[in-house]
Amino acid sequence: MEKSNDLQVMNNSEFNLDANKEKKKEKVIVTIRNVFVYIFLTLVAIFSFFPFYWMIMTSLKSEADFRQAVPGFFPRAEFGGFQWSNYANVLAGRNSVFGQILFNTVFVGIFSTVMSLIITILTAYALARMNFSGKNILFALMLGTMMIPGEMFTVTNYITASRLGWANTYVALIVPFLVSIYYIYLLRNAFMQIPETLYKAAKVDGITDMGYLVKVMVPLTAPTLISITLLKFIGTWNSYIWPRLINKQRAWRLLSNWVSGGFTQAGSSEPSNTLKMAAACITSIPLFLLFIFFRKYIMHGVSKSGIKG
Amino acid sequence: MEDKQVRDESLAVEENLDNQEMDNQELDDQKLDDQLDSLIEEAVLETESQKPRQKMRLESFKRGAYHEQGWLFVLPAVLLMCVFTFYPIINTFVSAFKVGYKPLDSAYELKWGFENFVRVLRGDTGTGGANFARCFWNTLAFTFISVPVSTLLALLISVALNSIKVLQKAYQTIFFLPYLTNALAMGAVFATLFNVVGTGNTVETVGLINVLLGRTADNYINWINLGSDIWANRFVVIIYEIWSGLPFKILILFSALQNVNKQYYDAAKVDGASKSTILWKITVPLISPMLSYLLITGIMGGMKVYTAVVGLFGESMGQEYEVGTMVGYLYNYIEKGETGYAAAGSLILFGIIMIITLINLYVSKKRVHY
Amino acid sequence: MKNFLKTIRTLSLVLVLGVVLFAMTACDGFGVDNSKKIIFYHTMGDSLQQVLETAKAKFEAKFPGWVIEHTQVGGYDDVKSAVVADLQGQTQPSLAYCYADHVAQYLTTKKVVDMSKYINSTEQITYTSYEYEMDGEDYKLDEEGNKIVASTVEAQEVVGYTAAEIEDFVKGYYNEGFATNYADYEKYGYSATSILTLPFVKSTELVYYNKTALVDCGIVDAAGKAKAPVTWDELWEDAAIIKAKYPDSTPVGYDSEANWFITMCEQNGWGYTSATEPHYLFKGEKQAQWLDTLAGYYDKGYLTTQSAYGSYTSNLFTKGVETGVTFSIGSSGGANHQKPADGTFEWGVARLPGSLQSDGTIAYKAISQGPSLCMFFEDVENAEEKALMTWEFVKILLEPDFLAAFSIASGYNPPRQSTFDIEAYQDHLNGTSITAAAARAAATMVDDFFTSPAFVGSSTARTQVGNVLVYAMTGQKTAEKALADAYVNCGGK
Repeated sequence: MEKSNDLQVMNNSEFNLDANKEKKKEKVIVTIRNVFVYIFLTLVAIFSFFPFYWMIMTSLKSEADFRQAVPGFFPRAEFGGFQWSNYANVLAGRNSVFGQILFNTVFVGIFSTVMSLIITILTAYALARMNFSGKNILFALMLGTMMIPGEMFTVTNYITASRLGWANTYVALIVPFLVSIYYIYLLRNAFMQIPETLYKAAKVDGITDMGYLVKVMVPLTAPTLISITLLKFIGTWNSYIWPRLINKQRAWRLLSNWVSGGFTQAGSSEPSNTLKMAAACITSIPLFLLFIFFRKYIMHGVSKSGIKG
Repeated sequence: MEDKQVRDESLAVEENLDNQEMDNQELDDQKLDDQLDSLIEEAVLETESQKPRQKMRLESFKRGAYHEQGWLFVLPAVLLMCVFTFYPIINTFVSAFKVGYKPLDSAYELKWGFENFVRVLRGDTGTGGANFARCFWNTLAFTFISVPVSTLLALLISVALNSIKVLQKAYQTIFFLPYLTNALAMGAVFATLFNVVGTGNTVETVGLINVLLGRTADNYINWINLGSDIWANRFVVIIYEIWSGLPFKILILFSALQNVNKQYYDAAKVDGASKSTILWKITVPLISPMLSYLLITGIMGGMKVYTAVVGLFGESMGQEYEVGTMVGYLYNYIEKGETGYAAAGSLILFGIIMIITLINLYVSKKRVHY
Repeated sequence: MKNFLKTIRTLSLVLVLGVVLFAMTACDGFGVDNSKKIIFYHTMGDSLQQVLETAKAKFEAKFPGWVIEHTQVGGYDDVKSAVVADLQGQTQPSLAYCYADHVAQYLTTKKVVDMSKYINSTEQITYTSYEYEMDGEDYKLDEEGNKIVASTVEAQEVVGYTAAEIEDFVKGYYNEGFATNYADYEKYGYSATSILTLPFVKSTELVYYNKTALVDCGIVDAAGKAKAPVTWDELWEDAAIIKAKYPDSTPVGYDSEANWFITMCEQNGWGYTSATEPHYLFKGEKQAQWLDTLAGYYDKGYLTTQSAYGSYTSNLFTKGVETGVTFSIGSSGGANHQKPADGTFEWGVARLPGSLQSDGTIAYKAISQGPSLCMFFEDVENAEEKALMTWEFVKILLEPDFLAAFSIASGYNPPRQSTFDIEAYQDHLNGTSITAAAARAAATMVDDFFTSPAFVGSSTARTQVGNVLVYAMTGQKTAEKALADAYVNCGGK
């Protein structure tokens, strides 16, 4: 970017005797600006990183260290120092179910993400590009549902799901959350950024709506779609209240339930916060890797060409 | 059936795009428009080559009036919503008008009316706990400070992130970390930052923020402890909200920036526009649909803030709900089994959010460039 | 992009596989007969669930064909939310951990089982008895490792408890279950003799004190040993002595403000709440006077509480006398946290102080906390039969042997006095750990436990009186104002 910037400067400055001087001045400005950009980003980075750091450090503390009035920035020697055994305890304590619960979470995560993505794309496309009677009312209704707190849905949905016989099944964890208006709305806006002229051109060429959607719209909004994929997957991965309610059998639960399932230190019956944090760190690792994996697609979407008309 | 169709087609696109990518490498930035054209061209070619198969498949779409195909696209979503969204909402509506409705109470005598609303608004529900007016003002304060601030901050971060090369990936990863941080850790961190610990005699710690501000045991700011000012409490909640809202907003805006055509920037530079002019006159309008999305959904989400306050101030949301929020208010009544009041409260909240959103949409319509 | 689409393709494959797997597992889940399955919601962590398994095994061997399915739903509030949702969907469990204010909500559905019917039953029930009991296994191994299957016989026993068995329950704990403890019980078909819950494991409040510091300050008995205060007056006298010697110390630390207020009301008969209208009795002159005294002590630096301090007061205790607290009043369940680092000072555990009455007697009363057991009629055809079998499981949970094992593992106090005769529990009590000392202290208090009445809003009252104490103590509000505000906040008129 900076390189092209310099080129621009060269191309556009009149080639008089001051050309070099101008260039130097420009360089200084760019450097200063960069310094500020990096300082700004670093400050925000510290702000963002600190709690994550705290989570990792807490997972390595002893319970006594955790309960201290003045918290330490790292596990302190006088309270036993680094407790790597926390991780071993967490995995050993529930070894018998960890594998099952991990499988549940991965399965439910992938399944609901993909299905939800398909529904989101179809709905967002129809709302963004197609004209059908009642479209505006439907969209308004959808937005309206975002205004009622989800807490009011829980009990009714719980009753519905149990009447359908979904208690202790994967269906119960997947189906009620397939429609996310937040993502439909997001994608609809992304679709609307693509100029309508393109659609008309495609129509003239005899491409069907489905064809246009899959071959043009989806590739062009790939960064947004990948963001939605990531967010939906993380959302499922971290869902907690619903699985706890509907799937009470341990074998049907998700990792977040496993995390808060009451790990206890040897010789104590009280839930241990540090063990819980170690479990939380373990469940964060796959999400972290997933983000690293998806990051390049978000940063370099299918095309850098904006096509806004 | 539809799933299969989409999958088939996506496989077809994949091949299509494989070619595309090869082309891509040879393409110059200046030739991006051609790229798009070829994209459509190939799509057309493919459609033609597969015409018999596709025709059959899409016959069903064409049967109705052309426009009404849209309903087929939204059908899965609408069906699911009928069961899992609209039905519970109707339930909520109905219970809001059942005076003093308690679902568990087998001796409850059904009586219709607006009394639940009146009692909620007057703060006279007879069972104590959270106060609606106080929860309302808290929620407004949280939302209308944290949402604009975090959206603006996210915009600046995304633009800054987009303009650098060195360490870009590292920064982007770090900015996403709050999304992966456990809520319990969050509460612990904020206690570390703001909690003052001490007896009447000695102060053991004034919290990291006070230390950074150069405050000591003699003149520390009481953020969250006993006897703290409501605005100090609100400030802490707002910081929490900004922090937890940033990753999502950065992700969305950064993705949106990837879709903006570089040619606009180049053109602007040719015209000698300054960086800030480019940002406000070109970048912001170009990604305005996403900004409007973030503001509207941010305010909707902000009006529903709850977990942040519970994480910081406990289930009682302060000593006695003084930092309570509107959803906290609903929870308070759900917990007591007083669903009638909770439903009435949620409809009032619905009304408030709707008014704000309508204003928001009206403004967006004028400002957002689709 | 190529890679991405490849990934999508792989994912699709995984999905198809998943669907197949899913179909297989789902088939497993359908058509399960729940008519002989007893579902138990609790909050037990890993270590306690291991103990619970022994009770489950015992029950399942005793009544072949019946199954216990127990679930750690989450914390106590999570159990309550789950039961409330279940009651609305008519999928309630057979048995659940409960607190009185939860049951106040449950009983309005009329689905809560009146256990007095079973407790007083003289009917016989047939069960399978084994030649020998081996942790629920129906075989033992001989010297060569061969299985010898136990021969079983049909045996009979009485469903209910004998008078002696009822007497065996700690009175304060047992009384909590009476319907009279709940508002409007008659409206929902219960009578004054109905029993809605039975106590499971309990905790109370104790004084953890710094023996070394007391000896230093000359607070000793005739034998020269540290002497823990018996009454509140003694506690404050000691506090004055300690404060004089160690000006930077805070002699008294109390973890739960609400418990303190409620306990003082109970010890002195001032009144806190009632099951019947007007429910809120705490707005009295006596309470205000006491709060004013506390404020005086707070000003002198004699005491602190968890909210005032900003962290657990046990942290102050373990710091030692110079800058910390000497008397730390907290739950018997949290004894582990009160233990100072080895070699810093000698600690002791004593019962909660009592209030000296005008007639010279000392009124001890101590709050009891911890889960009870609540049974539900299920919306199934064999509801009566299931309830009876659930009761049989409750009986196994309340057997002294099991309670001993559970109390040792949990650090909580057993609700039946005969538990103290179990050898394993005696060994535990005679231990040198702080948990053992706490259990010993709690065992001396069995005649003095109380619980507060439960009604909709009783948990609000609890929070509010805790706030009252904090506001009045720190001088943010006068005692009268704090009490009046709390009364209004509770919804009192």
